Amino acid sequence: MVELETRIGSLRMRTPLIAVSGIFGIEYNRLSPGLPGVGAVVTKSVTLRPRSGNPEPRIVETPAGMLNSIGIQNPGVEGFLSEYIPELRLLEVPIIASVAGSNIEEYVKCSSLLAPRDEIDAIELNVSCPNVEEGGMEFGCDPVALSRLVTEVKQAVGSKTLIVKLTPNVTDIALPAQAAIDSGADAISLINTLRGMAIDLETWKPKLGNRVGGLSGQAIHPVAVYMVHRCYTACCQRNGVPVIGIGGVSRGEDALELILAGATCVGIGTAMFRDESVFEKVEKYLSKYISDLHDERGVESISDLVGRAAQT
Amino acid sequence: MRDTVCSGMFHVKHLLLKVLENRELCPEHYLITLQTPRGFKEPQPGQFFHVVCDPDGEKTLINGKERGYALTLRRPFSVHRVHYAGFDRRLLAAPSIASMGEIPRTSGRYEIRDIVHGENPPYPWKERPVSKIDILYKVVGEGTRSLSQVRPGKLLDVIGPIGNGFHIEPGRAGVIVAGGMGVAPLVALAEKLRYLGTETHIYVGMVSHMHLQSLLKNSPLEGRDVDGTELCGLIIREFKGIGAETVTVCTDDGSAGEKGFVTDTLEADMQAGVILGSDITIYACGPSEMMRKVSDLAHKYEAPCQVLMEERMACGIGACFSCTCNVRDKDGNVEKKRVCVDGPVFEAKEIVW
Repeated sequence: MVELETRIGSLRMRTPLIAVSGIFGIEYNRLSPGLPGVGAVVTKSVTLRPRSGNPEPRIVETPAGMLNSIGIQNPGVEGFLSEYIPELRLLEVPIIASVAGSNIEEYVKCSSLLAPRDEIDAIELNVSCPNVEEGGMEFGCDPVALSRLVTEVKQAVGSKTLIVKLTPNVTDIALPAQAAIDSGADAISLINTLRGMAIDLETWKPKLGNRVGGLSGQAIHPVAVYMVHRCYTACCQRNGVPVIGIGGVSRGEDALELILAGATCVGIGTAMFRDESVFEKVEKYLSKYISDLHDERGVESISDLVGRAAQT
Repeated sequence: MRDTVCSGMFHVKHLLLKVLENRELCPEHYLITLQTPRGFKEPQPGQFFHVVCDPDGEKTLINGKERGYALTLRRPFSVHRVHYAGFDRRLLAAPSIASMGEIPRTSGRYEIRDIVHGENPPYPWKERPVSKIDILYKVVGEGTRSLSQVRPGKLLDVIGPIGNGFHIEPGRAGVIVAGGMGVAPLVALAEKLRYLGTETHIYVGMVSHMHLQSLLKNSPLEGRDVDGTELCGLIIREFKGIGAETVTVCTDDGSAGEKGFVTDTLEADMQAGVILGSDITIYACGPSEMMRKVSDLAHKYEAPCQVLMEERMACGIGACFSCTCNVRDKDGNVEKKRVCVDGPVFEAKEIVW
């Protein structure tokens, strides 16, 4: 098999496949010991103080996807450090801690508590959650605010790799991407969920307790491909900042498409719900794809494929 | 906020189970029977399986290439019945079990005599191999509609058994209160209580007699008009067949059994002292409003009560926090617990309705 080892900042991963935030839990390691195919995992977002999250129902399936509105339920950074960290040690893959907040101070405090921990290999700033009233997405939508946030968090996390996760709920995603890069982001990941809504035709009520939620799954894949392409061509390639492409990946072909659009790594989330072994399948597909193309086009690794769609 | 990987995940496996049968019992109600492999962990009443309802979903061919828009999520289904190799369930109705009196207990295992072969010493209950499981379901959306199309012989992708099942107290009479499809997991419970020699009383509430038909596996009424009274009699016989002492059937429209809500009948019986809160444990599953009422009654008559909660699920294994419900701890603090692995069975008094 072709070696798929990938690096992002100081993060070294055995595959370019990342289990994304909000979906991954330690429980998957029990269902699928050793997490075959997984290169790194991103924790559910953690906030400075505990959050109980949004009212139920919190999910609803939609055509080729689903809406969720969990609302970042988490035990707060202290609970996270005392309860989750010991479990996360069990994993054989790097851990990326996802941080959310409602103001810069919260992000900075939370990040500075997490960054010094050896068990945490990188920090991902969630500036894109559509399901909390304040914070999160407002930074992702405002390049100026995002710039200040990333600058301050970058100082707080020191040498740890800093990833900024962007929202697709903007007019041009290249603007926040550029702001994040200029302010010191080591990588950007995109896309988070697209804001959406579903209504029950009998009761005339929204199907989600929070009325609106975030759309994920196969349905959003073309949006992700476009936005990865947009960021790659507009700023990431030029600045040498890797993109983690996320959105609707459920099979090898989808991952390859994001890589050709400009992604160095590929995140997988919603597809895990149906099949947690999706990582293994995608890994095998990519590996085979590269070895098959080796003689024909001289492709030797994933990096030879990144952004190739931009060059044609 | 949460335990480490909790007990509800201890025996969870990702399995492919062969569909032996999948048939419509009455309009929109189906029973699917799955063959279980050797060494299959016996599911406890109240536990569930998280099922891919469209096994061919990803294989839809478009222009000769596989490209399906498969269902995004699995669907959770409680175990309706567990079948054991070499055990004839008709024997559940045999008087010998009921007359056994105190149940012998060895090293934490409840045992019953192997009445199949009349063997002595007792046959250890937990070692009885599982051969099949039944899931009873109603078509309510895309997932269940897809499942209803699955043909026998197919392999069904399941994760399970998941969750904390009912905590059975064999020393206390069991009062089972089922509303609508809430009856599905409670049949497994009724049978388990019976295996353990526990006195069992069953209260079933349905919208109308039509829905009751789903409880008859081999309906002698098939192909002819259904008469509510006759149907009710058959249901009672069915439940007596699995060893229930009393069976009470209620329908909202009065088309079979007593007219009205099952909770009203239960309340009347508790008020009249037909069942005493001090002697029983109540096990309930059904619409939220029904379980809340049962919970209130249990509180009023000081009976322990367990409820099987239902919520929309995504991962089903405790990772995503989609299926939460509000639970109050001993100090009165309310927090959101996961129905999948912290439940789905909770003490009724903990639930914030």
